[in-house]
Amino acid sequence: MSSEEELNSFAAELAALRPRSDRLDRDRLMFLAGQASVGSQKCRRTTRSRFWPAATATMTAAAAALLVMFVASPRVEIIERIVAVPTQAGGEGVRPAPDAAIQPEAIERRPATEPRRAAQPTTSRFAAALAGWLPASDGPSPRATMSYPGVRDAVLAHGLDSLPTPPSAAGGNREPDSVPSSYRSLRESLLEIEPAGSPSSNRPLRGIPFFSGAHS
Amino acid sequence: MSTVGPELLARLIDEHAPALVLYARQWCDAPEDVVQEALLRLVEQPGLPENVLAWLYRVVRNAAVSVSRSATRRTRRETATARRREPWFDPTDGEQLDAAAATAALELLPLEQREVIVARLWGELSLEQIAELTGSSTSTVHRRYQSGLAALRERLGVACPPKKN
Repeated sequence: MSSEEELNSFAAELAALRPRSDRLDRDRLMFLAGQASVGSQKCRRTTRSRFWPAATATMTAAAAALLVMFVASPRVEIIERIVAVPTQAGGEGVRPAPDAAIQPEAIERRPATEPRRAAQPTTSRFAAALAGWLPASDGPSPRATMSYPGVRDAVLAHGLDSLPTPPSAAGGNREPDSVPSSYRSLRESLLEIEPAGSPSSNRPLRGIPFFSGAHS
Repeated sequence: MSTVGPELLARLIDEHAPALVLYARQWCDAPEDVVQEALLRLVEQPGLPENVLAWLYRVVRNAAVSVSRSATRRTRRETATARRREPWFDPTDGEQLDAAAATAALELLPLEQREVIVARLWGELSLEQIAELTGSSTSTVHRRYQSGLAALRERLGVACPPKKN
């Protein structure tokens, strides 16, 4: 018999010894195992059952946060600018009522992306307003230093309301509110402002460059 | 994945718990508690391990080593006295090896050899499983097994059978 076989037979003799297990309470261990299995199942079930409440709470919190952000955010106000343009609808020399002067086309709702060329239809009104605003050629004025492109840009950016108030007719010899359509109407309007025979009636219309040479 | 049912647990307790207790006794003085905790951990597992027996031996080993480290505060004399009072095996008849002598001989073995012999003879693990359990190579485990058996046989006074020519 080889030493390997000898060791195997000795190992078999050793393995025949039965380890003691009298201190291991089998019934108690089975009871504890049942408790542990129920506890682990409850733990797994609790984890699964907590998923939907947690998801609901998360979504509710997100919705509340969005609502708070929406309420607290500054509102974008759309400013509709109503531009009052004087017209001649009320007759020559008669200033129209303020309500009648508001024409439908005067309410401009121009999107920001619209090119500035869209303001071309108002060129005539702009020219009329500018004619009443420009200073006299013989009198120095602080407004005379403002160039035409500057005034144009201001009007295109902010509308006709951005034009400063033109000088009064008594001080500047001009009529800013109405534009005469003909020479006759212009003459009559000037005659209403300045009484006939006054020394200033012979002066040229220096306030309006277009007519400055026609009256002389 | 299936879990540990009561039938499997009862079979594990009946067939393997004594060997597990003996295996845990190599490190600590309360091996029953360690084995009980290991079985309860097995029950709490969401699925069955691939090899239940190897898993149990690994858990028992780790727990027993941990308990032995925490029990170092106790005096070695008390531990040695307690060990002598508790035989590791059931009493045997006259034809078998003496249980007390086998216990004494096993206690004298180095821990590495004793662990391998207990796991191989009473735990019925293969040498490969023991190697994986102890973190050693299979050849190392085999060498420890052979040398441990030889030392036990010498201490127990088991005579070698006469050689046949």
